[in-house]
Amino acid sequence: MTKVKLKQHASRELVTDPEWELGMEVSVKFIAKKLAKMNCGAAMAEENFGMPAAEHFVYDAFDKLYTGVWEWNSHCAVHTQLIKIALSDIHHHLDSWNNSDEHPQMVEIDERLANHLTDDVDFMDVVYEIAESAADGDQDLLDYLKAMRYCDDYELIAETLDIPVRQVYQRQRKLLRRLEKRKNNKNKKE
Amino acid sequence: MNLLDKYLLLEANMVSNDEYKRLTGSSLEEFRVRMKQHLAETKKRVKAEKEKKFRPDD
Repeated sequence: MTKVKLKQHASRELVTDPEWELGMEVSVKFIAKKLAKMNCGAAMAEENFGMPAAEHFVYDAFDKLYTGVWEWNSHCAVHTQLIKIALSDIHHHLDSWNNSDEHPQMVEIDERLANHLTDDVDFMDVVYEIAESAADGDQDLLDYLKAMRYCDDYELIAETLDIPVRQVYQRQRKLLRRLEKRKNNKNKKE
Repeated sequence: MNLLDKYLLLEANMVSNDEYKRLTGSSLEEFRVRMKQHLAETKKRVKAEKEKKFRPDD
């Protein structure tokens, strides 16, 4: 069996079915975890959607991306686009839930999570903030992050930093290892 | 993939099958079956809509 790898595509027509499937699976896991952290109670109950809330939002996101209702972003992989759409829809759902007279119990969203959910806030900012903290003062990693913030082309980053491309990959791997370590430690504490 | 793509993938990959079941009450296997069905249905619907556009009198 061919191993499916998630990657960026110039257009939605180039995404294969196995890539859509993997993209949806990654997204549903991410959204399920996010919803659990938000503790939205009845607003995200399975009865509202006829299926787990995370699944509902990911299917909706897929439909919007697949049909072109949501504009394709060639700079993001499929799962990132699905997650962004799902988070935006969750934000709208919670907004209308809180504004409806039928639901006396409001859902409180903590500020940091709300930032993840607001369309206007650049989602990248939140991730870069986390990554910067994981870099922990390592100047090579901070330089890489700074360059990465404004371009996502590895060769351009290498040129900007005046280093070989393989070093860009090495720095990214190092940063991801640190992020993974922090996540693991955080999960153990929880 | 850019850093954001990889970071989100990293976060998602940390959710094990057991944790997913605990969070949603449904297993990933069950999700995969429904998801493939949803994908096929959406594709079919989009294809039918496209064909209808070319044959508006039908």
